[in-house]
Amino acid sequence: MHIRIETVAFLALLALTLMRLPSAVREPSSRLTWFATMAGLGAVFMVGVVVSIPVVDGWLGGSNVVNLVQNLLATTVFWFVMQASRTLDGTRFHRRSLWELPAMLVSFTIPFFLIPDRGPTSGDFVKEHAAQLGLWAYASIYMAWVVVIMIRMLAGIQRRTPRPYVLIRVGAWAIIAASLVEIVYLTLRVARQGQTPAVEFVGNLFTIPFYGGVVLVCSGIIVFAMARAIRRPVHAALGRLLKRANVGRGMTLAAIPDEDPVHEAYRLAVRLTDIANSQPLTARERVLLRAAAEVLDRQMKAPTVLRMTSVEPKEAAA
Amino acid sequence: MTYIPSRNQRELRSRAEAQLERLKLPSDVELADIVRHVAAVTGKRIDVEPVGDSDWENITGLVLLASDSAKILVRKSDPRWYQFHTVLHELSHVVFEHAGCGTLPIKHPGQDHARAGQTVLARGIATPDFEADLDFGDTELVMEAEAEKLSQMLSRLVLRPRHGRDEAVFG
Repeated sequence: MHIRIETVAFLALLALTLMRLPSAVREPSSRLTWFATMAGLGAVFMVGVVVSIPVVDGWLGGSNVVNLVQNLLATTVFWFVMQASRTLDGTRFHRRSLWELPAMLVSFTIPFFLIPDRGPTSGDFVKEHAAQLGLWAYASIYMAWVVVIMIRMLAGIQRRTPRPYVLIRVGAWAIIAASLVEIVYLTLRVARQGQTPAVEFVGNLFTIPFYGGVVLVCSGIIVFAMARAIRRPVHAALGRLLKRANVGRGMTLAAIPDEDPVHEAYRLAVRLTDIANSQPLTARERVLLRAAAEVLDRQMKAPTVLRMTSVEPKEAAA
Repeated sequence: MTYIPSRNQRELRSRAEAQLERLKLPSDVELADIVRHVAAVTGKRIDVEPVGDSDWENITGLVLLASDSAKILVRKSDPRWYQFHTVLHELSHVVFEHAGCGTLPIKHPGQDHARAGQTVLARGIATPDFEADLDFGDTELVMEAEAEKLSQMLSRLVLRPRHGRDEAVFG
């Protein structure tokens, strides 16, 4: 079965949007990326994954406006993700920076409508009309904005160490590379180089890195969303197992009112370790305790207890 | 000041909350910050030192108290998060200004660290769940329960998701 990379990107965005819905409602800091995923769903919808391009474009007048809408939405996605990345250091998102987005969108919408002959709906709209200067301006400006946005996003995440950023960085560089390749292709076409095999080879280098990059960026974000989404249920399950093990050892336990499952699991793991100090644990209990330590360390790493003092080293030495 | 132990769970909880408030900890806090703030509010120099080995069978950590200092010893063979909990527990004793107790066996190697004039508070193994099972007539147990409660509250401030900010934005 042949699966298009655009379909994979759509499914990744769909999963992301649904997974992040609760946090977007709960926390303002999540909303920027949620707006991005919502716009992203619309963008990929416009690629013909769910409804064919001719049908969607038919709704919009049948003159390839679908291509413009797709790029407007994609720019919106990238812009919101970029703005979100700039809030990672605690900087607040300023609504006054919102003007940038419509300015970017208008900058390539105008040349789009200046394309004298957009022809009937086509999945290869850009390639078919690339010899026109209007199309070159439209598509090149769009791609240039994508490059600018991705570079700003990379700057926003440059000091972030968590591993999912590897996916986001690789994805962003792939999108930048694909966008630059597309600008080169468009320039070759408008320079009357024709649709030669060499020029088309350059043009064909766009799709995989661009949509592959989108999938990678989404995957990085999904890892964060997953870690957050599974934390409570995983710790609640772990807490139940730890409670059973503690009760099995004769401990009388009472729930702490309003205690969240994460800290409850920590409290119960401390209790079971207390027991392990005085009685040998069964193999099953040891496995449970190791698993609990692993989960606690992975989710909320406790600081290493080092030799420390409350006074300045100079005073301590005196 | 004469120490009066908590008389019920409600009082115990509110006392622990009051001590936590007294520490005036920032929202983004590390273990070293807690040590520093405890030193500031109690006026004691605080030292934390991972020590001990398999000889430390009966206790997981202890605090050596003097009028101007508190030295916290934790069993370094314990898992990291368990050592962390032990340090918070001992720091909580210091914050509550609990007097020493007799948990430490007289021949325990922890006694090697004690100097004249110091009293000892030790976190024993297999402490009961004070939420469910606490005799408020037993002062030593109440002190343990108070320290355990405050240490739980402190742990909530430090044990946060590793990448909380990243999850808040992207998660």
